Amino acid sequence: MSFVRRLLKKFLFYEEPDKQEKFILKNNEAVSVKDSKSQHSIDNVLEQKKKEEEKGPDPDDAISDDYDTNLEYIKRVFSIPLNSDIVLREFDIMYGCKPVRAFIIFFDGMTDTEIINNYILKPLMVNSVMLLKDIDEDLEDYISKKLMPHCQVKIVKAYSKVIDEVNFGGCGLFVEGLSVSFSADVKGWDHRGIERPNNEIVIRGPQEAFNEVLRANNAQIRKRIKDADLIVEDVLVGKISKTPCSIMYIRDVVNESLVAEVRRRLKGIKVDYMLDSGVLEQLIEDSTIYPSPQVISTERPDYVCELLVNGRVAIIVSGSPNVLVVPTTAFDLMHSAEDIYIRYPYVNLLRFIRYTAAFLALLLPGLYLAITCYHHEMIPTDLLLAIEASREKVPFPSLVEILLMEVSFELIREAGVRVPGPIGPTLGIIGALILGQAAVAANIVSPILIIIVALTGIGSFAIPNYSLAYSIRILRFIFIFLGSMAGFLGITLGLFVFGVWSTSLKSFGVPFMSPLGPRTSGKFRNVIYKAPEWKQENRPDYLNPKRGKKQAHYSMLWKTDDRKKKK
Amino acid sequence: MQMGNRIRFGSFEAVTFISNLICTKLFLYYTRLTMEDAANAGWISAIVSGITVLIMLTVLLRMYRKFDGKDILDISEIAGGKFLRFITGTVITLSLFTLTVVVIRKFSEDMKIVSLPVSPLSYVMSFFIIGIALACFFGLEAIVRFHAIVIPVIVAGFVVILLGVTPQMDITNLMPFWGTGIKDILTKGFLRSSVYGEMAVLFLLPPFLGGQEKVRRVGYGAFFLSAFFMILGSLIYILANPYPTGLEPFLPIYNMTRVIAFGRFFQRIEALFVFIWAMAALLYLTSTFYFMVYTFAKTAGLKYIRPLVLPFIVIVFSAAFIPDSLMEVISIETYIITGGWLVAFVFTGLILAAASARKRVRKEKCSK
Amino acid sequence: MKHRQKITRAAVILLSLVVAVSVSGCYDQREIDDLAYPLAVGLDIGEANILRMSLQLAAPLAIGGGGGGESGGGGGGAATETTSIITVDTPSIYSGLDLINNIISKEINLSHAKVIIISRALAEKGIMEYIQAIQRGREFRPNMFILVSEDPPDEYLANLTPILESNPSKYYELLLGKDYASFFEDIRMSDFHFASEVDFREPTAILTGINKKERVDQLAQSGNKELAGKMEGVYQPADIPVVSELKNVVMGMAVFKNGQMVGTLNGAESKCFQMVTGKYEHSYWTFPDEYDPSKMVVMDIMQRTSPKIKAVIKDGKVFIDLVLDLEGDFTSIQSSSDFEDYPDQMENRASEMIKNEIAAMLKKTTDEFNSDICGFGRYVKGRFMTLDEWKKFNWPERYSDTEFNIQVKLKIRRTGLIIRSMGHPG
Repeated sequence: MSFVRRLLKKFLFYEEPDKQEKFILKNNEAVSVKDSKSQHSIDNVLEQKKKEEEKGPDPDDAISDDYDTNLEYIKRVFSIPLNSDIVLREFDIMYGCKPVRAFIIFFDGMTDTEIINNYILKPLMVNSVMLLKDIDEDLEDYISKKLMPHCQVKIVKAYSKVIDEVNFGGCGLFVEGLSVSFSADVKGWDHRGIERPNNEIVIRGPQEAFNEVLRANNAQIRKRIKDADLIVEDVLVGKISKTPCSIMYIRDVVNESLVAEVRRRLKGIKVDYMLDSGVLEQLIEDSTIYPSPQVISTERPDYVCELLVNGRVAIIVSGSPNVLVVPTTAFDLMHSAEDIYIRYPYVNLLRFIRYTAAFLALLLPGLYLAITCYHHEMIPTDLLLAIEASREKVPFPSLVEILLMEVSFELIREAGVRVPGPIGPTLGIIGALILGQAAVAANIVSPILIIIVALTGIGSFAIPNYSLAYSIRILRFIFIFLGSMAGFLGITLGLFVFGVWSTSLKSFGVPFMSPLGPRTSGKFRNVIYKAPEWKQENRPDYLNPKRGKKQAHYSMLWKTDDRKKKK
Repeated sequence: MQMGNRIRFGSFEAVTFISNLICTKLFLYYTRLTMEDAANAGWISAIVSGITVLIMLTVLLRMYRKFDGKDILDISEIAGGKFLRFITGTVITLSLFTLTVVVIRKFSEDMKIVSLPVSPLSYVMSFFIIGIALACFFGLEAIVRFHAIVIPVIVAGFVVILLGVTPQMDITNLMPFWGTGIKDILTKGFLRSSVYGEMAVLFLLPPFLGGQEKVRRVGYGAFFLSAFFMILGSLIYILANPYPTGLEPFLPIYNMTRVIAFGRFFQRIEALFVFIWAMAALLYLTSTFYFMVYTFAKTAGLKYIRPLVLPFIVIVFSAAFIPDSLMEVISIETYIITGGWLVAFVFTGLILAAASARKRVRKEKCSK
Repeated sequence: MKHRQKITRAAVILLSLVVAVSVSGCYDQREIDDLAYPLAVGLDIGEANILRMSLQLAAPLAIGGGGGGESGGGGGGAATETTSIITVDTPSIYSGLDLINNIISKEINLSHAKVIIISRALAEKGIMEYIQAIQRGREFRPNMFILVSEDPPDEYLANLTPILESNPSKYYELLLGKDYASFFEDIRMSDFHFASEVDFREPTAILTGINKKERVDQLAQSGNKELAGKMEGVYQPADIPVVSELKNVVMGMAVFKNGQMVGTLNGAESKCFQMVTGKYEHSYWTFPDEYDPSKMVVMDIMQRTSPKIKAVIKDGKVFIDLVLDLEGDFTSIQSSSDFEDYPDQMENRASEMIKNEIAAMLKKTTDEFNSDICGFGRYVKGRFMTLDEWKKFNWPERYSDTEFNIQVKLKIRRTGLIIRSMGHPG
């Protein structure tokens, strides 16, 4: 009853929209790092971070200088001895001639015990004995500056920081009499190395992919963009999982408000756990029901670098080999990583094939239905009589035939993904062939339908972005229904509504159909048709980057005649 | 959806937007209309229409120069207070309403004739209605930006049709040169400037365009683009269809498309052109419908447009069934194309003149 | 909460729409195999009613080669007919279609009818009403061929069994749509319709008939023996001296005025007609050798540019200047004389002969038919400034007074592979 009332209310009354404005990407002026003033949000963030660190810890959270209090607190927090993989090691440090009690705490299996043994325990226990002369520093400086030859040691004043560090593979050191604690990063769990990309295979180009370790992924990008302006900003997402994510951008290229928006969205996620970039994508995207993705997700570091250089922002999630890059436009989803590595004629041919594939995958069954059910005069007479002859024995109407074949094709595809080993892809192909052939022989479907369904399937495989291919698979069914309802009129209606929907969408403030939708400056030469690499002078205008040009007008100086210069 | 102040679009989008409003008539009846007026000198009549509109547009834009960033409703408020604003709003709403109803009825009948002869009219019309309603929910920005993407495709398709009729073109079809006589050409050409009547929508756009220089550019750009295609369309139609037979077909461009045949394979492709017509129709109807609702809301002082869409759609749908037959629709259309220039240009001109007179008087009063 | 409501609402509306519209057949949806496709339409004067309409229906199983999946081995051997003829007497075309729809199992769909065949008797009575009806219907192709048949259409269609193709529609397109045939011009329905409604041109149609000769010894019965060896194609369809399995022959054109057939052009006259209208491509002409009357010179004559036509009006009489530019290649010089070295002679003679043929054809149109089939009115029209003056001039009645001034310029370009024939020794 209340459902009906709610429905009526929805239809008869109007709900005011949210007062808050949607995000739009404002224009930036070109500012280089050297002249930056403190109005810029990046500098604001820097100042904010400095302030946070200078601020002392909460009084409740501060580490006490009593050894036993610390020990009890740590034992309680980590549920020792219930937690079996945590290790608490008590030992003594020689301070001058006096022994001082200390303990370290770390998780077994998450840490590299070699490093703990050699670079934390050994110097603390052994070297402290060796240096028995008078020490004029206080204990804190003595330990941190002389006794811990480890590259990443932090002095922290709050329990929560030590606990977070230990949870993520660090080790915490508490010393009697000090109201600070030392935390060292000794991560050493087992992980996958740098391997070939699985889903974005290129013929020409580097064969490295991201793996699950955050810092390794950051390093992959930093080793390609060797610029001090490449910023890696860490954000923790998730209350329980505390997943570290890094936002990467090039400071003097990217638009300030874009970075601010990314930061705002990431900080505004209130979930318990967030495990993978797939989950993150769903939590920060603009529209949930729109079929196509609104962020680029890739596992190739070279592709991410290319996108960063153009003025986008990358979000890396620890534990996920897929990196998100925002913002994106519809046309970027049809680019692949290989596009800049191959030569100008081939890349345009490939683009043409991709767009044809997308067109076929989306519209071919719908068009076939529209033509054979409504517009018979379009078919050449020979073909028409052949189709009619083959359809004589088929008992189903065209629509049922097509749905049958499409659904079976999708079933085979899904099944082929799950079957293990080398049988998987083979099953897909053979299954489809045999099934199709058998269906034709049994007069369940007509032979031309097998061709249609096969072309549609192959077309959807040729689309470079995996999620986009999914979305086209969904939309195809809608066009099938529209085509069978009203022929070309129905298909035009579908294209119109879908087109207007796409044009109204924004991905992080950038309209989804830029640069064709809102006609931005037409100088960016890599939208549908790609100009040669030496002509790629401009960054995309719709990103409003700080520096619009990335190449000189004559980027190939070797082509001009040197003899003229010598004169 | 908030009213106007956050939505902006560029001049390219606005130019394609207004050109589509004008040129969709090519698909309906314009080429046959020019032939009806002046026989095989119809293209000269089209040129006369164009020149008339150019003069009127120049005059209007000149008068508009003082009103930077204001649309016609605000100007009418300056001219005669709230009363005149109400009148202007009503006139604009009613004329856009008539246009929407007539065109939606016409296009649905066309679709029935071309590809869906047996379906009931309401079934065919519901496709257009659903398209309009959904597109209006997405907002004006999306509609206008979508124009910028699709209109080039439609133009390309139209050019393909024009090129495809080349084998049928015969230069002697233009003779006798002056057709029914110079007087006929001039008078009919002048009256038919009503087909450019949608140019008046230009004066609803200033809050979105920003700056009267942009409005001028958009106005002239849209005029030249649409005039070019209207004249070219009638010229090629006259070349390809000799004088008396060109008056017969109900859908002149469709007829031209039917005779395109290159060899054994490339024949009877007129169904492909259903795409561009249906798309042009959907864009036209969405635009006029949206601006009708927008003007209504602005005149009545309402803040939101979305809740008005559904009731207006129902009104348009029912009104489209009022004429009993296609012939009645054509006779209503004849009034529009004969007298439309009065509403579009003369009315706007009067308001602009009144407002600038008022402004001058007020300035003099202030300077005293 | 809000989001779930939105999705539920959208899903409910969508599902109800889809179910309501229903998967198996919206109003206009027709499956391909629910339709029957006539490939040719024949019109004749009916006896039981006004019009006799014949339809040649395609039998797809025979044409398409059997059901799906089986290889071609079994399909071709069956003795099934590829077409089926159905004839009705009806008051009009559409009532005939209605009647046929009631009789046969599938619905008639005319969008693949390639040919319309009108009997001579009906053509002489007048066919404007049917042409109008056909142009109004959306299913008819505007580029259907229009034929006038000396024999009744149902007999004509019954005799039509294409040998070189399996599909009669391909047969029609190949037979009638070729540009290398000069004995007739391919006239389409849209051309015919235009020409019949304007006042500066009159329509023509393709002339066809059944060749009743079965055996070679019957060849002597046909043709005018006096003209043997002079010019080709001076035949009407019934008396072409040819014997073949295919009984249907196409030759010549039918001339119309005011929607009624007033006469025919034979094959040779059609060649001249095509030259004057600029639609002539190429064909072979035989000229008698001036040195040896029993031998022939055969040339392949082509027209590269349209003829230049000018119209001058003097005292209400129209004078038309016609300049034709032709090119020729020698294909056979039977007497081995050295025509190749002195082409001017041959050019002048051939031009003269062609000119005479064209003049004879044009005289026939002015005197016998009074029908401006070549469309000279288009050029006369250019002399007037407004439509009223043109209408007052009343060209269709004045055509018979027209005088022609024809100039044929033939240029011989090539001689084939032999540059100079040596002939017999001695």
